[in-house]
Amino acid sequence: MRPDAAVARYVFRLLLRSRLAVLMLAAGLVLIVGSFVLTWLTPGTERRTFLDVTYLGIEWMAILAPILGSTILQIQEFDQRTLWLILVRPPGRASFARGRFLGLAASSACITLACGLVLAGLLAVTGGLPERYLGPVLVAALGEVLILSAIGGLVTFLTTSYLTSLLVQLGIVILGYLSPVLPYLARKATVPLLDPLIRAVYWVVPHLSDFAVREFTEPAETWYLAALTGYAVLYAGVAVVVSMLAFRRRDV
Amino acid sequence: MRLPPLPPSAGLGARIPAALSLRRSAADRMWIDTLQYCGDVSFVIDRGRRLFRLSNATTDLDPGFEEAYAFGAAMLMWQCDRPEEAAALLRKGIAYNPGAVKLKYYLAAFTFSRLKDLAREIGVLEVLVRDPGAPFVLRRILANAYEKQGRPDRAAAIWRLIWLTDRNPSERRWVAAKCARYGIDPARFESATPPARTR
Repeated sequence: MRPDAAVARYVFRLLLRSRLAVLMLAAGLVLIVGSFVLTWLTPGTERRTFLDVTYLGIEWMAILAPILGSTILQIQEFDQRTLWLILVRPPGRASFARGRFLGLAASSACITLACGLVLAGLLAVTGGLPERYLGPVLVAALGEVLILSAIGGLVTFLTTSYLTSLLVQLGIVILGYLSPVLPYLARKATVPLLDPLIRAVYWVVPHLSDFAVREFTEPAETWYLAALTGYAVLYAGVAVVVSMLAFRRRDV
Repeated sequence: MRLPPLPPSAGLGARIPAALSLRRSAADRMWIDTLQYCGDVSFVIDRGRRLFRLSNATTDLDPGFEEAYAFGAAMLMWQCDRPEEAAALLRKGIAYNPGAVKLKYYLAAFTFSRLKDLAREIGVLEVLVRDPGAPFVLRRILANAYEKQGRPDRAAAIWRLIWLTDRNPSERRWVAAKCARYGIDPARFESATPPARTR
C-alpha cells in the first residue's frame, strides 16, 4: 500500500496546488453569489431557488473536478512526460494506476466538500439550518466523485490526446444522466444492431441520474444512500482494475 | 421519492431537462418566467392569457411546487378573472399534493367568490394571509374584499401592514393610492413598534 499512498499523495498535492483547485473554488463562490442574486427574481421562494441552484452547483463540482483533474494529469504525465520520472522508481504501473485514482478522488472530494461547507456555513449564519437535503446531496456527490475519478483514470490511459479524453468523459457523463431513457431508445431502435448496442451502453455507463437526489420529493433515505455508495465503490473498483490492465499495456 | 413522471402532454422543453435530471432547476426557470410575465405590461394587456400555460408548465416539471399553484391560481382568479383556469390549476395541485391544506383553502376561497359569498371568502382569505409563504397579492385581495364589504377600517389595517412590512415600491404606491381615497396619510402608519418585516 505504501507505493499507492505515495503516488496518491503526489497526485493530491499536484492537483490542489494547481490552478484547477483555485478556479473551481472561485467558480463555486461565483455560483453562490449568483444564487443570491437569482433569489431577487423569485420573491416568496428565495430559499428554494437558492438551494436548488447551489445543490446543482455542488453536483457539477463533483462532476467537473475529476474530469478536469484527470485532464490536467494527462497533460502533465503524458504530454509533458513527467510520468517517466515516476515510473523509473518504484511504484510499478499497477500501483501508479491505483494511487493516481486515490489522489484524484481525494482532491476532487476536497473541492466538493469545500463547496458544501461554504453552503452549510452560509445557512448557519442566515438561520437556514437544519437543511435536510444537504447531507444526502453531499453523499451522492462524493459517490459521483468516486465513479468519475475512476473513469477519468481509465479514459486517460486509453486515449492519446487530452481533448479526446475530455470529450469522452463528458460524453460518458451525459449518457450516465440519460441512462433511464436508454432502454426506451433501445426498444424504439429501427436498425437491429442498435438494440443490443444501446443496451450494452446502458449497462456500461454509470447510472448518474440515480445520484441526483436533489430532485427527490423528500430527502433520500439512509438505505438509498448506502446503496448508492455501494454502487459507486463497486463501479469505481471495476473501473480501476480495468485501468490497471489498460495501463500495463500502454506505451509511455 | 422521485418526482412523478411527466404528463403525456409535456413537450420537449420539459422532457429534455427531465432526461438530464434537471427538473427542479427547469421548474425554477419557468417560475422566474411566470413572475416576470406577471410583472410585464403584456400581462395586463392580454389579461393573463399565458399565465395558465406558464403555471402548468412549471408544475408539470415539479408537481410539488405549491407556491406556483397558489400564486398562479390567485392571479388567475382575482387579477385576470379566469376562474375556470384557476380552479383547474388548484385541482391539479391538490391531486399531486393531497396533504396541501393551503391549496384546499384556496379552492374554498374561489368557490365562495364565485358564489358571491363575500363573508365566507373573507374568512378563508384571513386564514391564507397568515401563512408566511402566502403570495403578496393575497393581502391586496383581502383588503379589497374588506372594502367591498364596507369595512374600510379593516382594509386600512391591511394597508398599514403592507406599508410597514413591504419595501416593494409598487405595493407602497398601491397603498398610497388607496389611502388617498380615504384621506389617510400613509406616513402616519409609521409607529414605535412596527410589525416584523416579511420582505
